[in-house]
Amino acid sequence: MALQDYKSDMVRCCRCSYCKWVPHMKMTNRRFATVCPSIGRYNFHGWSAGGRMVAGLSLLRGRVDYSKRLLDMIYQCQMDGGCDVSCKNQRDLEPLETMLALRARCVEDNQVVPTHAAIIDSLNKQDNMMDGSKTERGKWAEGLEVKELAKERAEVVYHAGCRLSFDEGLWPAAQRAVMLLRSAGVDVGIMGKAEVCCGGRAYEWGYQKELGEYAERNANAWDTAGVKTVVTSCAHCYQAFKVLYDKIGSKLNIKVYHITEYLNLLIGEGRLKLTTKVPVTVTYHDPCHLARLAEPWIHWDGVEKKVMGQLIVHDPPKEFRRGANGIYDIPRDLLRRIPGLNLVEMCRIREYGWCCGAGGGVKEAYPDFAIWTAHQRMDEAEATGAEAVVTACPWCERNFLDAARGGDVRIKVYDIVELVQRAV
Amino acid sequence: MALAREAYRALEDVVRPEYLTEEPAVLDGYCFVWGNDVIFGDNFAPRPHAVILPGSTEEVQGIVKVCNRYGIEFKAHSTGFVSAAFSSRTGFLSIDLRRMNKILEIDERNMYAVVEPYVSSCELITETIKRGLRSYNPAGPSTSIVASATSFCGLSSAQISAGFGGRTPLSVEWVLPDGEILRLGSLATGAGWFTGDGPGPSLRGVMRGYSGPAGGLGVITKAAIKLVPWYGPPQIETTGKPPSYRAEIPASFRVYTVVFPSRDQLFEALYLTSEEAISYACSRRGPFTMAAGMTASNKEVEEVWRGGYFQNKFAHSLSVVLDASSPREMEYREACLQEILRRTEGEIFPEDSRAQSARFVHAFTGQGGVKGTFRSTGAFITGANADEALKVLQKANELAYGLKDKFAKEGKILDDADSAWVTGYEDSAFGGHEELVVRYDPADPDSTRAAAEVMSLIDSLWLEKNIDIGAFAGCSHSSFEGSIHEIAGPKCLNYHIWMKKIKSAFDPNLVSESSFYVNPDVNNTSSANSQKSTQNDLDNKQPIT
Repeated sequence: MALQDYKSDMVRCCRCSYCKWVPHMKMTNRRFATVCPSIGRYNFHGWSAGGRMVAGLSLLRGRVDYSKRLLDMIYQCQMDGGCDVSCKNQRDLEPLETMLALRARCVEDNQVVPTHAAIIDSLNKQDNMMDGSKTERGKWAEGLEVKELAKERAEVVYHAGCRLSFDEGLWPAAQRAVMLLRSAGVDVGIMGKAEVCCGGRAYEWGYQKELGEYAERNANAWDTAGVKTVVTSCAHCYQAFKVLYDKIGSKLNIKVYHITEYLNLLIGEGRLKLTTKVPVTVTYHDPCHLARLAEPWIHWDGVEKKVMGQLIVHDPPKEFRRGANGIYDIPRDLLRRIPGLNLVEMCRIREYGWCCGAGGGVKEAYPDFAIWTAHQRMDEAEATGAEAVVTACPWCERNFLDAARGGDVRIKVYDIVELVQRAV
Repeated sequence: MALAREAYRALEDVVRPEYLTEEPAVLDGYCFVWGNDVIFGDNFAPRPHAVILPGSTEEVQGIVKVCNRYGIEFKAHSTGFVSAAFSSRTGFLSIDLRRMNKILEIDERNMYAVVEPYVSSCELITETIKRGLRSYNPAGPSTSIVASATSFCGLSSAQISAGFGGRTPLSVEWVLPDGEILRLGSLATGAGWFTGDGPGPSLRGVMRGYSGPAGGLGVITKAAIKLVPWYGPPQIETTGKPPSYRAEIPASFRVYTVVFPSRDQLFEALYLTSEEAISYACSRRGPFTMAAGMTASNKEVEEVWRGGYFQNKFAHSLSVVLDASSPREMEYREACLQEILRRTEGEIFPEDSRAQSARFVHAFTGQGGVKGTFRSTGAFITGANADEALKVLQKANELAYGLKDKFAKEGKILDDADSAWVTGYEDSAFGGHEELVVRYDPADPDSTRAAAEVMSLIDSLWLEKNIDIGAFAGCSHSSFEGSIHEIAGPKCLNYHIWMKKIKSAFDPNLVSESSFYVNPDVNNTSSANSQKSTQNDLDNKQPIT
């Protein structure tokens, strides 16, 4: 939907500022009471969902013109959806979709963040969001002797995604995932050099056509390869495959699993056994794209109407995505299955979790803000008394690791698969 | 109109440049808030000249001094969830107090908390209940506790036990409109924050009067907030998913919805409950607010409303929440409630845990208010505000509903039956507060105009009937620009003249923007005339019957 389709939502924002806080019933510690990194870092109201609703309305009405400051206001945001959950706990509005439409409008008007534009340019040439060469894709798997689906057939394709493919420091996460799958007897392969971006991050930046293109390319590639299942370690890819492709009418015909879901299945079937003690106290960070943003898309094609005079209802009734139906329990179950591991929770978890800081193009265009956001989260993790924060997304892991390098950070960072592998 | 460059640079010297902006896109976030459309016929009020984010009292003082030096009008706000925070016919310097967000102290022994303006009520309660204490809770969990206590309204879902906002501040730190810092109460003598009335100057009446100057008399930068005992656990456990989170009601609490055969009996029960001081919260929320507050969607509201269930069952109902420090005390309180119900023919209506949770969390922190008001049509406005004897409220309720009903039947505002909110005061068993809710769609100009018209009709009726003139003094949108004070003032001890005198004395350069307070320049002649006729007005005042 275009920005003007959200005009009523923008007008009906009441400026309650709920979008800045965790849902109030979930507030247990004022130190960790907010949900929006953007307003936390930049303070002016415009750096909140409510503020961006106002900005969108101003733009539509011609009250303001594009400026660098306006673009900063729109793009200094991880698009993590915490605001959306808090708003929709009370209202039937669509702040996150409005912000997406606002970004799409910027791109449509050729008002773009230069760093993003350069990456998108690279994406169009190299099929990845990391400014890497497509010829280097798949290098992470060298020596693993995993099937290349261009040459061999397999039941399952493991999709590494752009971050794991081009961030050498994180290659072990992808390697471990494939080794675990194989050790459980899974017939798994990779696309290697032929793997392409999911398109999800570009979509989040307002580059919407790229999502459709990559949805088609991925679907065709997997169809040609004859795979029945895609497994990914990347929460962004997972969300794109499962939610965004469906949203734009390109739902995949194969099963989509995040690695945590698939490992949990394998353990449930007895194909993987966690027997080795891993005596560590950890806290789990919900990656936004595996959590609230992974809630299945709910299609609705109808109209808003009024009853009882002015009561706003939808015909047919509209079911709102309110963030609680993401993947929350499975990663926690996985961790709890690890002998000797003690899982403690942070204040902001599940649908009201605090973002790692890497989403929405922030890591690329505003790296200091990304690190600031990660430090907030690591402070929260440290406050639990945990020795390590565990995540299930390479973007979170990278941002936490970067933050740990620069600051006074005591806590370790683990990819969840690493802990599972240690327990096998 | 932009600020003079010299003035802008002077402000930059006070705060770092990153905390000051004139960017139009940023400024638009400071002139958009619910209710604007009713005042301006547009969602946007005039844009402020600039927005500034001070981080300390000293920075606020520096800003105010610059404003005096250059003749810049300013208005400070905290969480900004009301038109009074931003709206004016002309631009001004908007002071966003967001960076002043610290709980400085929780004094358990003396039962107060010292907080800065951006601390929300939910944040404060979250921390105080860990210590067996609670503050009063103003209009919703995201609202500023300092703003509600010192500067604007201060109504609370649990005011019957924790007090109205105006009775809550103890010592305060106040940057006056001329930039001087004034410390009220014990703080001024170095004796700490424990009282607002001395030793040290007691100017609480000037600082906020009845309903607060709404930013029109300087900036409160710190306040000690009175705390009262909390008999629940240090944390409320919750279950469920949004939008239907449920609270575990603590063992030391009881939540009842009580229904009565008539409005008379409802008000009698409210009177007796206030008099016996047994409840944590006791209020009439109106059947639609009750339905909206506990349902997951507007569709669900429509279904239950069309069934007639809520309007039939809860037309004359009270939400009653009891708390107690011991089982024996709860036994006593429940026995009292039962006796009140016996005398008023009230009955406890059996409700499920979802409904009980909704009632409890609303009493606890005002949560559910946004769902109960804004979700249904997009916006609401309250009129017929009154703080009066319960008998007067009862009559006022009937009168106001009659005015609103016509517009509801025409479909211009929500047909939500008798939607008045009524609650009692902790310090006044015979008195209470009432607001009539008008729900309208701000995206629909016809609906917005109808809401404005209802408000205007109610204001006229209130003035004609002499119903709680004091309520105009701040909390209603009707008080914008103060012209209504010129009509209401002569009917109520010429309060407007005293407000103008206070404003002039404390703000000699008239830089503290006071659209929602009072303007000394408005209609001075008629004010002088009206002063002469005060006695006549008092003599002629007709009580409503």
